[in-house]
Amino acid sequence: MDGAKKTNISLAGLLELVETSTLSSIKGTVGGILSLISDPTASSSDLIKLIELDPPLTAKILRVANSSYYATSKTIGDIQQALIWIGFDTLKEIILTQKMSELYRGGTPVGGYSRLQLWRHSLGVALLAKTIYRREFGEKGNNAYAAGLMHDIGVIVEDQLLHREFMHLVQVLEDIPQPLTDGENSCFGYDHGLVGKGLAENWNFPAELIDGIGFHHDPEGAREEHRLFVKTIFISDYLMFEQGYGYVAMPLPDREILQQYVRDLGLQWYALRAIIEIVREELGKIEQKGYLIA
Amino acid sequence: MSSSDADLRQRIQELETEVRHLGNELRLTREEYEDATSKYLDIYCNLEKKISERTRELDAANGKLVLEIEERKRTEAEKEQLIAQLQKAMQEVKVLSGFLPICASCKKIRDDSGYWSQIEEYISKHSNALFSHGICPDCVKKLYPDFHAELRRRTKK
Repeated sequence: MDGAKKTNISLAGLLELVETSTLSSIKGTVGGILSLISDPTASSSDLIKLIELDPPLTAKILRVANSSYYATSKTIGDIQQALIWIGFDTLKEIILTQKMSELYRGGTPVGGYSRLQLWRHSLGVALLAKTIYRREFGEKGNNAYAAGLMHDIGVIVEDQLLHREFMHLVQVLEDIPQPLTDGENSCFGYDHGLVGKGLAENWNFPAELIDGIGFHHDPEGAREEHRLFVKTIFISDYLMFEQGYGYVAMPLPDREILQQYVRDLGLQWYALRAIIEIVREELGKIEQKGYLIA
Repeated sequence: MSSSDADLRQRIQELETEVRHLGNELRLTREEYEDATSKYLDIYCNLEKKISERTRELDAANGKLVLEIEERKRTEAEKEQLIAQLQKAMQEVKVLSGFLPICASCKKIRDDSGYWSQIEEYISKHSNALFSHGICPDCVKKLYPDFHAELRRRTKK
């Protein structure tokens, strides 16, 4: 890409850097939560044990659990109470959201990009993917929420560890609009999907999540058994960009691809529109309550 | 098909979707409610178990503490007794360690009420010491000169 600063750091080198950077601080808790999400036999004591390993997390969870967003009728004083009043699945989502939000702090907005916008986008994709699973497929969609929240983890890795080059790239994208992945490939030799996939593999994430992160721009590349899951992430990602929840100036892929995936999932547009409306309302509530950044 | 028919059909589809969505949400919420109830029971049972374990631990610790208190009381009593014995001994030592008025000639000792006692009698009364009477060689020579001479002769042989 013309004008972009190139980097000499290979994908393997970048993934090695992740392990020694502050990004790896979330590895234990996030890995533990993802295991609990994938394990239907996981008990409440497994979750409590995991939280106890991370004392600052307990305080954050209680703050969120007592916020007006959840509006419980009584004050929640400990994790056991949070588990009862908020529920096992929601508590897992809160923990994952809290830990992930740690990566998106700070940074200066450049071009159309900022970490806050990226976080807002990730949260939107997570909510949309989960709501599609719940309302359309009648499933809980915990993995869809996790994949939505983490699908762009590769972007935050590039932002934090290849900061100068990445900032230059988003600036160039504003001047010469083109897909982020094209810019990344010219600049780094890999895109954020590959970075995220490598990180998810190194951190032993569940296979469905690895594909969700790695192939959210190219669902056909995912393993067949995960393809519908990855297409849900693609659709959610696309629609959130379209709804103004993007994080970088870039043209969206051909809309025909989106239409095809919507048909593949057996979704109807009027059903999707209703779901998008629910998610927009939910995001509005989250922003209004000041819950967007931990 | 007129446009109002199309609108009506679309509205019906939308309502059917809404009903289906709400049906799914209701079922999932019910499942989550049941799950939360079972998790609550799980926590409650664990709590009961923890309380009974803790009660057992506290009972054991309490029993140990009672034994320790008794042991301490016994030690304390023994200490008190030892102190009393020591004090008594100290008093006696004090009596014998003060100035004793003694007759320069007959060696009788005068007590606090002015009575003159034999030295053996006085010491026996004011300490645990007992006397066993014998005779020293100098006094044998002085009091029993014949017996003394006989003893010397036998020793030389």
